[in-house]
Amino acid sequence: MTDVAADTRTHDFIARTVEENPVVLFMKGVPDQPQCGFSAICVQILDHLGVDFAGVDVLQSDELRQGVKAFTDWPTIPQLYVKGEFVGGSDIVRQMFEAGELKPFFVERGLLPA
Amino acid sequence: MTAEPDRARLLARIRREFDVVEERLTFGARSLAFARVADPDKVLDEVCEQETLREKGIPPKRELRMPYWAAVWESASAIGEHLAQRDAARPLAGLSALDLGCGMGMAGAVMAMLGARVVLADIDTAGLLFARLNTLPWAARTTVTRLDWSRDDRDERFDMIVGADVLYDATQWAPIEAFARRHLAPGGVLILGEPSRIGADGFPVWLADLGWAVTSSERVAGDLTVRIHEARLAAGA
Repeated sequence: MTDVAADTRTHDFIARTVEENPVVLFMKGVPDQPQCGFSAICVQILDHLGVDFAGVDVLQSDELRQGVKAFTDWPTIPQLYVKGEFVGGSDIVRQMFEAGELKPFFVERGLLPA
Repeated sequence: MTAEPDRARLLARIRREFDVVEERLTFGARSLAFARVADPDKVLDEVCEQETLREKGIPPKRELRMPYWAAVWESASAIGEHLAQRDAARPLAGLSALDLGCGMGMAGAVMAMLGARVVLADIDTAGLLFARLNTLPWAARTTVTRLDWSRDDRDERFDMIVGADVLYDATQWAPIEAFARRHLAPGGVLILGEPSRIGADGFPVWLADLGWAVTSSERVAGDLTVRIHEARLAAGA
């Protein structure tokens, strides 16, 4: 069932991805073609703010999908990471955006011009 | 009325909508039967499909929320273990308790097993059938209900309010604190568990500044460390 070596590999891949990319969106589908409305909302918001981000399609493999959920014990996709920090899923991203908190969040971290 | 026919009927009702896994889970020296969603991803995919349809103008069957209830969070298991251990020194039997954001009801089921009178509450009703099923052996002293902690009030106070991983969204800290303040009986304790999320680092200090006495402990669950905060309102705070 679960393969410990594969789990470790997936965990390392996720850890490396969020370390090497300042903004990572684990999503269903790719940014140009999201496969679910919640992933699409996050992409729209990030594009609207003009933030560069790496989109990682969890539908590539079940290992990745399970690994992403286990990584911070967050059961749903999409998931946004900024500078290695888990920010939240689509509801939190949307809420921060609507409250006007998301842009300053990126500005403070040097990911958008002030 | 016996529990078995009730259980069969409830299970059949749940199975019309969800695939179910039944497990026996051990907490301390005791164990309980726990039913959960077999494949939380499938539940998420269905919500996503409905969201996609909604965008095309087709209204959803029910309000669309991320189905956080469909997975058992590590914090819920960790709190269950914490409570079972705590019970040896400070028994739960006879206490009134609230499982806030109960999902499928793991923490609430453990408290009921340990002899507490328990209210299990969540904003998302989809998980409440599971919560009812999982507390059926103690149905006489459990209540399962929908509750939005930012708006709703219960007409009672509790000796213990428990929340598993409810701190990930810092905008909810204030409503949770206010709810706990309104609903804890004198001397009551608030017990919150969360898997060491960076966004929740500041919570214990934030809570202490509002007049709560907070003690924190840690429990390792796989790759995660679950922090468990126990908080009591200082007299006069």
